[in-house]
Amino acid sequence: MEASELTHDETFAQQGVGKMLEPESYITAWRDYQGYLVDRLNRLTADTKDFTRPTKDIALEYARSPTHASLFNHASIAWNNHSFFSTLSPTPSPISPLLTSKLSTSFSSIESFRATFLATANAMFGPGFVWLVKRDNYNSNTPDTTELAILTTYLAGSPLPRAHYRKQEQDMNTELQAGAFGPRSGKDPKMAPGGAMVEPMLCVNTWQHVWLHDYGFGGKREYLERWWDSVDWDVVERNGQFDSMARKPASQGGSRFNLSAGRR
Amino acid sequence: MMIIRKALIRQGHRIAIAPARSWTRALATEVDIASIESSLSNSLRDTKSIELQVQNETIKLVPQIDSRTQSTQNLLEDNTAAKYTQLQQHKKLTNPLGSRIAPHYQPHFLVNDPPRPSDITLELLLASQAHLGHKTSHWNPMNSRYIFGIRQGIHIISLDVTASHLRRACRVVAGVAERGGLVLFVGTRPGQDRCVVKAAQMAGGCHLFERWTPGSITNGHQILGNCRTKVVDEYDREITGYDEELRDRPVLKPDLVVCMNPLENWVMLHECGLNAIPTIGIIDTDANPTWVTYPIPANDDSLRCVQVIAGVLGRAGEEGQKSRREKAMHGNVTYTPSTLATGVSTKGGRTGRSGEDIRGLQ
Repeated sequence: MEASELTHDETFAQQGVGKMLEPESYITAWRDYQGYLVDRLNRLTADTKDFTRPTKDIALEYARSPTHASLFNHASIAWNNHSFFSTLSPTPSPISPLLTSKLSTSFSSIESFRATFLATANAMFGPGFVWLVKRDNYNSNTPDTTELAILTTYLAGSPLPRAHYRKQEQDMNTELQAGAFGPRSGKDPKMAPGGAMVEPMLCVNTWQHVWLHDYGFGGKREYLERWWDSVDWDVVERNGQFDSMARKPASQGGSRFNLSAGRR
Repeated sequence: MMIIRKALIRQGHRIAIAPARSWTRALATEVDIASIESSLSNSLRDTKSIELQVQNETIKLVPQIDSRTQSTQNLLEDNTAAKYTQLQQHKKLTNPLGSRIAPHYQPHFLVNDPPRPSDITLELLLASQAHLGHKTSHWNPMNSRYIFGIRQGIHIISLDVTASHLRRACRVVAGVAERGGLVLFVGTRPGQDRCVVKAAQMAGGCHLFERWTPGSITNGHQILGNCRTKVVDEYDREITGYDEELRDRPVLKPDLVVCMNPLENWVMLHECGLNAIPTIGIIDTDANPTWVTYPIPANDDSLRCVQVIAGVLGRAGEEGQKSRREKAMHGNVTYTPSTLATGVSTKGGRTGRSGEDIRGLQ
């Protein structure tokens, strides 16, 4: 496998990502880092059936396996990093009316959504990702059960439902309560955090290597604010799959036997 | 996760209602119609009561009650299809993220979505191990023109020769299919059944993956005499009313035979030769190339190679069929229709040539 190509890769490498990242930082955070991750994945999966498997499938398969923790980590981070860069654009589109209504329903207003999201990301100590996810809330009083929520994943945690064992939602050093009534009270010490059927839509990468070069150690807040202005909200809406009309997936063009015709 | 609640309504322990019958033994030779009629109506009554019993005791689906809205689930509104499409879309969005997988060999694609004649490349044939021949001591010297050289004690088949012979075979299969011919795909080694069936389906022909019964062509009326034959017009629609004529006709023979393992099917190839049926076959370095009309020098021991060749020939047949159908749509019949018995059939079926009566041109 190789590192994927972003749609705006050339633009980002020449001009940087809006006001968020300088060109060198972009090259470090995407080209160098993603290339390194994919290289590590190739080494870990060499001569196994996972060599030709999509990264997401590798992360889902090994989420529950402590012996393959390294493989899961690299696959999950590669997927997360690509998700992050896929929502960025040099000419970002604003939040559409449909998305505005969905966000206002879930977060009471766009301003409060933005404030909550950035505050959550800023408060996380250490590297990780913060996600906007869509989920079904069966207990809601409205007929529309889809709801948007904010999810944090520390280190290489994954928001995918089938990898919930490694969601890593909480900072284990601060949230753990060793008490009689806490979630870690020892009554069910082997129970994993439960999975929830969520669809990830948007994420911010809070790993230091992304923002350290341009903003310094104290610049996380400023990085987050500038990131907000670079988000392409059309991609986010597409990821949310809000339309209920059934669409046939587009057929693959080209012949898979003609190797010289480029990649699928 | 649907909970199926069974609604069983018990009807009591009686399974059959004893009818009030009067059996009078008829000693006379004449049949008593009244008693037969009454017994018939009694048995009908029995059947209906048993039917009612069975209907009442079958499992009936009771719709779930939604805990949120306290409304019953409308069983007519099935959103399974919508959910499946959503899942497929979600997979399409999320699967490509992370890394890019280079094109690689996936075995099932060779059978489910075979390559086309335009996809024949030396790289494909090399990857499918088509160049690997047998030990040099096992060769048939008639194959020397196809051999490139020797490596590690085996003969290596020239892939450009393989490619050109394979392309020629594709033209033959496409040409036969375009002219309404029947192509028989034969592959009797284990594992060759799927690709042979797929190729026959695409070319609109027949397949064989079990042992060839000797005499199926030379003694066809005995071995294949009970097989159903049908008459079709140029649009491939079946025409009824020719049963009597078909009974007198000889058994069908294929117009072209494609064989994946000629060494095991030499009897069939001999029969084809006796009946002037052209044959195509995969000729390995130890096989006899004169047994087939159009040899394809390749490796018959590699299943991947056989699947590639069968797939490509099937695709060629598919193109021929498509071309034939398109020409028929424009009024151009690419073959000479068989003449059946002229004159009015006793059953009132159609007479004379097949397609023209339908189009009313006669």
